Amino acid sequence: MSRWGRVRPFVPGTARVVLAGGAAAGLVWLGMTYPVSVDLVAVAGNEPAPVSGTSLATHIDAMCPGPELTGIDGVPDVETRGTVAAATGPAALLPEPATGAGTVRLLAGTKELDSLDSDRPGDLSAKLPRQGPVTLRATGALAPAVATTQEWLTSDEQTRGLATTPCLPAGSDLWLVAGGDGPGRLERLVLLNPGGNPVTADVSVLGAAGEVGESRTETVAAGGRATLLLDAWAGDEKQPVVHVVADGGGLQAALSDTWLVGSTPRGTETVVPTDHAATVQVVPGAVLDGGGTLRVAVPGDEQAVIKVSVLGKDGLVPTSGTSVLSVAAGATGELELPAVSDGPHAVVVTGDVPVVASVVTDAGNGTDPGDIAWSSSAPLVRDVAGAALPATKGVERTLQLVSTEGSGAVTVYTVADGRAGTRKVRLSDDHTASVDVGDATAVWVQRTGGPGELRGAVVSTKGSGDDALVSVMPLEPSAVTSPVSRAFPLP
Amino acid sequence: MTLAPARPDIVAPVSSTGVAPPVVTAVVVSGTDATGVGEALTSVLAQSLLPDEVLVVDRTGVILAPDASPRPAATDATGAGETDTASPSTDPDGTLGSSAEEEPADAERDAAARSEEPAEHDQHRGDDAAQGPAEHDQHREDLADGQPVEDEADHEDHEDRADPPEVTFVDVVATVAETTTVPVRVVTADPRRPVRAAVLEAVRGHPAPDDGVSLLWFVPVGVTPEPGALVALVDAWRRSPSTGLLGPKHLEKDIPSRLQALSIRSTRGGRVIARPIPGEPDQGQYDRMSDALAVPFAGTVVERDLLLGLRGWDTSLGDMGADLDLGWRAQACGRRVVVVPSARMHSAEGAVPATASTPARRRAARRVALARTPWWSTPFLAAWIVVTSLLAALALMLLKRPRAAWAELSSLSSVDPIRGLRSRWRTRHRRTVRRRHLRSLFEPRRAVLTGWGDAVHHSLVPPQPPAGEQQAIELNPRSWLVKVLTHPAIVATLAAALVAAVAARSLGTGVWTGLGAGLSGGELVGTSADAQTLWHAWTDGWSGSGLGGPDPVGPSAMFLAGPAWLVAHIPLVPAPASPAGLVVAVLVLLAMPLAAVSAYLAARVVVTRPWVRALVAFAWATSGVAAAAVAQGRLGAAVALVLLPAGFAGLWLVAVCRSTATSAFATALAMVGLGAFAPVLLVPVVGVALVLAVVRRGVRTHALVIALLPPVLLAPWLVPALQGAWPTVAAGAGLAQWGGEVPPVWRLALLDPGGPGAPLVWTTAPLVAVGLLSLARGRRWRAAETSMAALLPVLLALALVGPTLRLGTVPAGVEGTGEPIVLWPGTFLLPLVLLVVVSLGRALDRVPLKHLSRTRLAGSWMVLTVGLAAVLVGAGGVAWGTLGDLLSPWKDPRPAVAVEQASGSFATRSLFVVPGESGAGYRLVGREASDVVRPLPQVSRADGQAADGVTALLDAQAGGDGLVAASAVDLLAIRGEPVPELARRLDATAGLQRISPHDGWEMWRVSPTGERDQALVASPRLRMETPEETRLVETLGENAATVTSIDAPADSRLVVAQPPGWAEHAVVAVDGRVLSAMDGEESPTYELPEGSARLTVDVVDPQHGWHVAQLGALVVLGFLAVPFGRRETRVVDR
Repeated sequence: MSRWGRVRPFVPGTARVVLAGGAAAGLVWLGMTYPVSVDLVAVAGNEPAPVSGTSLATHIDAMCPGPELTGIDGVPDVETRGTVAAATGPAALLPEPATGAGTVRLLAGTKELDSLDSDRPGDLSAKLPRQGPVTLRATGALAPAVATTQEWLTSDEQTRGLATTPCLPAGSDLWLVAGGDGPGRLERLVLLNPGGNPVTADVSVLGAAGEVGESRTETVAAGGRATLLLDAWAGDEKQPVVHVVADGGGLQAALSDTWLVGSTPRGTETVVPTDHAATVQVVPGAVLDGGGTLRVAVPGDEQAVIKVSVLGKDGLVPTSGTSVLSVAAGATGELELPAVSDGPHAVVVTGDVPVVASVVTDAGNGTDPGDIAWSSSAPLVRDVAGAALPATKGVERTLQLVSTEGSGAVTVYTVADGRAGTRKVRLSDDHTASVDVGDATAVWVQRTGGPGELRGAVVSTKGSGDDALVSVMPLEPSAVTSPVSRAFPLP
Repeated sequence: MTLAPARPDIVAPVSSTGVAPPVVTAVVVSGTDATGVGEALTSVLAQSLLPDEVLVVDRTGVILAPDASPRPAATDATGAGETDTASPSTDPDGTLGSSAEEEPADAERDAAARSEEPAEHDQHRGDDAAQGPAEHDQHREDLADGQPVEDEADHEDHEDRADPPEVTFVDVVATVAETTTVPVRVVTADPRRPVRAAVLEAVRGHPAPDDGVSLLWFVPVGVTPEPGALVALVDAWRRSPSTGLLGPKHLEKDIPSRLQALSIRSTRGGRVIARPIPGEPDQGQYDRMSDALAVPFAGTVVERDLLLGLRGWDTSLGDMGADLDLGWRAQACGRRVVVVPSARMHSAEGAVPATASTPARRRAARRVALARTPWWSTPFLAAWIVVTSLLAALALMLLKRPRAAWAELSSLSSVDPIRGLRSRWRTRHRRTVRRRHLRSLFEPRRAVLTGWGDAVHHSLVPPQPPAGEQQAIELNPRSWLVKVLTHPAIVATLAAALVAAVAARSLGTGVWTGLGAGLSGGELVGTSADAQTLWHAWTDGWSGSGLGGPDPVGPSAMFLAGPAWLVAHIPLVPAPASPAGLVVAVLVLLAMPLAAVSAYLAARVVVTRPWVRALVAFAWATSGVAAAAVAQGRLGAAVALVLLPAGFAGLWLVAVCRSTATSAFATALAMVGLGAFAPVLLVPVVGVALVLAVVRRGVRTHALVIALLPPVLLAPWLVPALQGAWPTVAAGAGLAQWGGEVPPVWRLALLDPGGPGAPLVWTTAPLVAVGLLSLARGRRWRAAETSMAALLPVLLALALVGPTLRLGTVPAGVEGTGEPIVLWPGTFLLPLVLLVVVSLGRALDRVPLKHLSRTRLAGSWMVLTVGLAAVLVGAGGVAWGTLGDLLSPWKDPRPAVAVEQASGSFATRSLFVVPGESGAGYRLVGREASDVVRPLPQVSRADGQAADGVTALLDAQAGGDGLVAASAVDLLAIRGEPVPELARRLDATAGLQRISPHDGWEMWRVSPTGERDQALVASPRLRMETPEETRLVETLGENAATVTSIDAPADSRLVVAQPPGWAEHAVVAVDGRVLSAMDGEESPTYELPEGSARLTVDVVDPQHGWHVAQLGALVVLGFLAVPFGRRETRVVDR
């Protein structure tokens, strides 16, 4: 058999393998070299709307307590003329542009005090009504990054002080630290219900020896407020801490602390709830020029051993005196803080069990009319926080920031005349920073980096020395996104 | 009872009575040519009892002119007469032919030979002989009378007409006639006339004998009587004076041990029974027969007077019919028709029609029955014929005998009163025997049923090998357990199941224990659906889960409805929580072993060695694509794993021209199922089938059946979907990949689809390599491997193009938001994998193992080992890679009360919300939760339009109540621990009451707000709003369908918690009066007439006709696809 004859039977098979393999290899090469894409959706002609990965908040309800010193039957109202201001943050705070229309309205009941429907950043303000709360209602494109603050300043014979209070959305487990004993020390608890249903609040007061008296139940009408005079059952408690638990909805609460010694007004302050109970509480904006008092409450069933440290611009401030406090379970305790000059500081409270904490400072000299300032532990700023700054004449404000558990970087936007100034701030671990916001109508903080836990407060002062009026409000996070603000069907 | 006139004494047997013998005239009937005449004539003249005369009916049509005759021939004055073929003048040598001198000697010899021969017979013959040559003139008679020739074929004329006779008819007859002393006369006849008519005319024209009874013996061409046939017949005639008609036993000419015909057996209704069946072995089983209803023409002996008295045959009834008719009439006149089995004749095939072998004969027999039945019973008999024919046709259709069924149906045309009357008039006579006295002559109905049963058994049961062979096979009998466990199919299935089980270790045991509720994860969404839900999803104009939509649902729902119903009705087993979910879960989880079973069965057309088939099945079932399909819950791919081998086998049969109609229909049916779940896979199947239709002409119909039937059957769904929703069609049931990375091209080429369940990289490479090398099998260009080699790049190109098809965009709330949804890469890898494993199987199938040298045997085993190793490496990669953890048992997140509300009269829905970074994804779940796999995001679904309402509800804004009322939401569930703000807000919302969490969902019970809804616990699907209150209208069906009684006060309205578009697809009627939806309402609202009435809400099926046609076609296709009987009964030689 010839050579070709021997090879010939194998030609078809070999050719098949070579050709099929070669064609397959060619196809692979083509596919890797010239990737293609065929859009059947476009061919079908029903392209759905572009998908957004972020759900911007579209509806924000927050409530301001309004004039706190009014609304209790049998107790004379104290007229406080104040201002409520609201602001929308710069567009840069938003992860994506907010489209569509939006409004921000300040409502006193059904009455609209002011409204805003312009672009960002924007602000609006109105005078506080004589009675009742003020509701902030932001919708649509203006709902993300909105903040409201009410502020009043009075300096008469009976009442003196500056009260700057952020207006907040509802919560359900609220701790308010303020007040004290004495015949001229009045604590008014204002319960606010932004919801559409009546909400029942269970109010209890913790004192140095544990719970003071029986807890009380108060029902707050939808969209309304209820004011309780704590002195009615905890008037003698030297270091009260109020606990409000809402049932059947959410509430907001504010505690007004008015101090009158004899005929000398020693100050007033309205506090909002502290950060929720935790083993670490950070109280930014503690004005410790003349020293201060840390008040803690232990909500749980175990005694707390608390370590206190003070942070300043240069880090941990070495202080003399006791820095450890032991507080019984379900009770409150106080620790005197040493005077630390050179501006506000941050107080870090570390407990072995969850606690809540605030620091109170007395701006006065103890004999003349003065003012008190409660600095509550502030919530963590994870993304954006802000505060509207009412244009109260003579009031100067400083933004206090503190980073714990690591360094942090933020961008601070100060809005004035409708324009936002930007300042980047880097914070080392356990360091504070102070930003002068001047006459800005709002200040916004956007966290940009760093592993640290960032908190802040706005310290408002008027005057100086013993006559100074001081108020500290925690920097509250502002909702930019909402997990439920935009609904879409799941496949 | 007197059956016959008194037998003349002269015809009584000589031995007993000494009377005169009959005069037997043998009538030899030619065909249209001279072929066979000589043989027939010879056989007649070779009888032990010679006929007294022979009459040859010449139907060749050759009219011999006197001057053209090669020999002198006397023609009578009329031009038609008899001619003597034995004229001395025609005898060239003077030794042939009859002569007056020889005749007495011949007569004496015959008389000596046949002692029973009557003396008169000899005398008669002597008289004939004495007439001399002049009286033996051949008579020629033109019998043409202008009658039309019957359409029934004369099977006596079966001889090859194409061959012209080399000698003339006269030569043939003369040649034979010269050898005998029996007078042979030739009578010419018009060949266009029917045989029997020609014969009758010849008989009439032939003078009757002066004395004695004249018997006619018909011997047509093609029939060769044995020498003793005539004597047996005549003897039988003489034994019974009433016998008038006698028939012989016809045997096959070539194989005389087989029967050809005996008598014509019929029921009273004219249904002819084939007994014996032509070809039946003659074991003497019919030799005791005597009386019969009729006998075939060929070989019949009949009294001349009887024949003429009955006016002969009614040739309008054809051949067999005419014979049956003649016998029937003879019996009615009191003359017996007798079969004489001892008279044997050898008959050519078809020469003796005694069965209804053609539709014409079947009709003729029916007409005979109608003509011979009393006039008053004719309508009843006709009705009986119609009913039995229809039933028989139906039964034959069910037995998949369409030709026989058509023949039954065609017999209906016999019910023709005009022809029956004509036949009755033509052959009118006075019957002398009562009908009931003839009862025993007819076949009982039992015989018909028995015949049918035998036929069915014959077609179903293959002939068993003789017992000896069977025993030889089982020399080493094994237990049935060993047989089962060592069966290649079982081994392949168990091995595939083992690989699947090992790979499924990552899923945990929960997927098995929680199977009753189905699975979720991957493409499976988990649902609580039963057969009714699926069925209505397919039929209702408004369908789908949640609020539904007008888009037609794919036929996969219809296919799943049947199994879902089945699993819910298994006796002694509690109904599963979700029958549809269970069916889907079983299909997905058992896809690999099921694929092995399917592939093993299908591979028999490609591979002959069982163990190689098992390897092919194992390789197919444990491929990376199969594992990925299971791991990702791709129902469509799982179905394709099972059905694709069937389609491949069907196409292969077509390609090698071995397909049958059944295989083609079965393939088409499988492809319909495949198209319902994975329509895109129809593309290569239809493409290949169309190519085969072009290149394989012999099986073009089969190829076209496979190519066209599936798309046509699915057209009611495909056509509307292709007009606007191509991606939906392409995605099928779970063939879309939502985001994620498509594996690189080289991995696709290695049959690796990527994703969960994909095997270890490169473990698929050996299979690809050996599959490719296997194409080298075969040393001819025209081998199947050439086609496979050509197909391989095509399928690879499809596989590479598949993942580039963008079907949509991953919506918010799902992993991979914003990424493209593409066709799953494994979709088109499936046919490629099949091609590769078949290529490997064919190569291994041909590896020689016998009669080899040791070296070559080692080489063969090495090849087998390499193939096996390649498959095992792939399976090992699958087992190692695991099936991932996407699948998990599905648990209905709704609390029991919500499930009860959804399935009860309220028919409420639950709103499930999953808050996330990009917003709150929501899903409305009602009783219509019919999506078993994740559907593509569709704009037309009403659920998307409820987004604002959901947002309002979650934000506690105005509008939330509207959603509750418009969608009958009674439960709000939020996934996980909701943000405190949201929980507080919901707690504070009127109409929401928090209930205890369930299975990781925070729950709020939703109740209507406002004064109107205080009476109701939840907002129902159907509610009647009266001026004073809101009442429940119970919902019974899917999508608000119901039938219920209402009592409506004045100014009442029916509000349906469905999207507005629903009203276009629903018919709301009160006491049959259709109501129109009010304009401008948020939900479909109808004004109700006052008073008690019956309310009907029906969601109409806009494609009802199509759906019915689809179902009907599926049933028919299924019937046609079911193999019935043995394969050899279905295969048509090509």
